[in-house]
Amino acid sequence: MSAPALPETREQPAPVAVGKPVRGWRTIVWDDPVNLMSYVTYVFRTHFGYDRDKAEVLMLQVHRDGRAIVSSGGRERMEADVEAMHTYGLWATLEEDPA
Amino acid sequence: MHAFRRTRSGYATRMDATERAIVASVVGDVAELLGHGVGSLGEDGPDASASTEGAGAPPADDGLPVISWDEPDEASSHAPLDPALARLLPSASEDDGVAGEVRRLTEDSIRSAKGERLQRVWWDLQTREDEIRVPDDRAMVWAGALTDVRLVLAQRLGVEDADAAERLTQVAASSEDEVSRALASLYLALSWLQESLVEAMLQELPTAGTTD
Repeated sequence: MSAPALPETREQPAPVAVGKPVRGWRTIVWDDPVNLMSYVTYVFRTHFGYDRDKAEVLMLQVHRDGRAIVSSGGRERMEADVEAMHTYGLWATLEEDPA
Repeated sequence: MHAFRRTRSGYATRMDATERAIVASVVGDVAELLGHGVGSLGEDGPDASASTEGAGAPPADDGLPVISWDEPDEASSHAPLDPALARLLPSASEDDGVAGEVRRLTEDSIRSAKGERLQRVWWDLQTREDEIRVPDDRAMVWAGALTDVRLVLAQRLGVEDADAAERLTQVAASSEDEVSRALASLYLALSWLQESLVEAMLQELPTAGTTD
């Protein structure tokens, strides 16, 4: 495979983003009386790739405090996380990061 | 009903014919609630339904009216009125505007994912053998479907908090209402079954995670 001739402009630095950073939303998982602690831990481990300790801390936070922030980032990604949590049967919402 | 145990290529449980029929019945009810009734499945099971769909061949005329589950307002932005369905399809935000936008974008795919999962489990229960084998790649299908069935049973039993969930053992043993006794017993049995499956699934995950 040959490389096409590149235009002169390739040496120019990429424009620096000056707008607001993409972050700004977060996904909350809420406690409910049905979901098993083991299942919630399993979902946190496999969906988010969290290790056992982090997944268990978040699960216990949901259980004891009633809610936990499980991910944060751009709105579209948080919508995808909430959709995944709902598909798993967990109760999740997204909200704008107040910070 | 036996607890799930690990096998070489997945998980296995045992249920006798009566247990399979009871579980399949409630699994079918929840699928129907989501608009994915198991009555529409062909002889070859849920995997074959996609290929026959839209082929223009109506199912054999059994004298029953063909029910369309498509809602008139296809991409609804409102939470379902049925409280059990609302548990399966909760609001994605405390802000009604955001909740409506997200529901329009995601509700159909969540409904389909849950419906197909329940159909798969219903089909797995249509066996003459007591041994039910769940391969690795179907374990989450079972765990998720059991969650949805338990969410609906809990709503029908009026379980709103942890205390009410704790009381279900009493309800199952001594409620004066026969239906409540049966639903609570089923809820407890399915909770126990799901716990055995998920505990076995957790054992299969690496001790360390993939990130953090």
